[in-house]
Amino acid sequence: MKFWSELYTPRFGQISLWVLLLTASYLVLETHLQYQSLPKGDNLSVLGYVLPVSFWNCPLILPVGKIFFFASALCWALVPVWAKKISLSEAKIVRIALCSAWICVFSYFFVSCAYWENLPWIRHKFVMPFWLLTINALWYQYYAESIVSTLKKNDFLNSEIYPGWVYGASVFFISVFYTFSGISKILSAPDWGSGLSLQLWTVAFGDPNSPVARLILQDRFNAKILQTSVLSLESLSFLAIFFTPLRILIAIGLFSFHCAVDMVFSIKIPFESQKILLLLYFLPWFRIKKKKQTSQ
Amino acid sequence: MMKKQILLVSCLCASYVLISPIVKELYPFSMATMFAFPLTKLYIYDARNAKGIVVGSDWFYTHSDNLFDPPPMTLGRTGYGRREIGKLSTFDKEPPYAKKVSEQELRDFVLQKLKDEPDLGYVSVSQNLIEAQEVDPKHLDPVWSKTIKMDNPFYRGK
Repeated sequence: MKFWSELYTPRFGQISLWVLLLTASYLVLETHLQYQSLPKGDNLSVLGYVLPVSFWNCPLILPVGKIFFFASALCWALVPVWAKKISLSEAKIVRIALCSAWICVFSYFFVSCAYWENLPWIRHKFVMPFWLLTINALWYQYYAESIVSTLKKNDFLNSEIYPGWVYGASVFFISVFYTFSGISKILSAPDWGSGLSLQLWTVAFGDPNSPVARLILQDRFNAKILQTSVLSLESLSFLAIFFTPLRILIAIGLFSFHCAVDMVFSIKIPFESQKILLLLYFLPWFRIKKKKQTSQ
Repeated sequence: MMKKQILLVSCLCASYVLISPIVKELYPFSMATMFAFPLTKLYIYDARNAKGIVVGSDWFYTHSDNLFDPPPMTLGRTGYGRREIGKLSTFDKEPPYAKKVSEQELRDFVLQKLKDEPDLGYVSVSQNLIEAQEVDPKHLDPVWSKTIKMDNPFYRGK
């Protein structure tokens, strides 16, 4: 946790920001208002409690939100290009960088709220990217001047302008998201991992041709092993915040879990965005870089 | 400066940790409750034509409660952002979570679907209960079944 207050070179920070923006764009592309004609149900987002029902019935909310998101995400992603190629003053580029970062965060938030408010189900995968975008926008909030200045001087990659808390908080949000998933299962039933419910979900929604589905249905013991493993893995995901070696193991475990879910259920629950973010933040790209620098 | 940054980020982290368990699902706060409610029994449905072939294979699953991702049940909420009309209500707030649909509800639901099936003279609709059996705890088979025959009032065939 000590690394939160240290500064690092921004290679990982910039690459992870690009990957995060691409992942968020992929999710935003998936949003639609196909179910807007159905009667409004309950509020599923913070904005749902702030804005009136008539607002969520407007067909323009999503297209407008998407335009803002894609324009600002592109603008944010291209800050390294603006800073080098465009002959604007540093102060103006800093302002552009900050505006694009925060518009991107708020437009992603708005698009996600609009999507959740207009769906007859929930899409959990939209949660994590919001928090990660916010953390990255805070990086720019505090370091935009240094980022732009070092870009102008062609010294960006060698300057220590990436604070450890950006990486630390990103890992924190991903870990807690999965830990909460485990806790909510334990709270709803202490014997959640008995294997029976996994078998029943597989009967209802499973792909009968899937070898994993067959394994689950063959014997409740198999289902129990798989279900208990997932429960333990999710509940203990918070350990990834503190221990790098465990973080790698947890990443591999959770990645395998998402792949297994893809293989078992015939109704596809695409969690590609979660898989990408797990591999991006939990595999030791950031720490390896740090070690290399120290040895130099 | 760095202390101020860490304090702000810590507040953000704390807000997620403290608010999510209270609201469960209120974007951007979430307890990721997918698959959180373990079923101990399950009702499965199918509708078959005169030849015994399953028709409308997605009737009962795409137009019923989402048994692996049920709606939020906090802050007085009972549903999702939009309410599906004529949906088969198959989720119960309390264990065992799987709700038994009454024969009348099932008939009303199938009747709606038959509006779009003018070539079907009638359908046999089955409701099967699957739950763990003491005699064979390893396997799952229907322990109770009921089949109802429904004529299609919208039939336009010969």
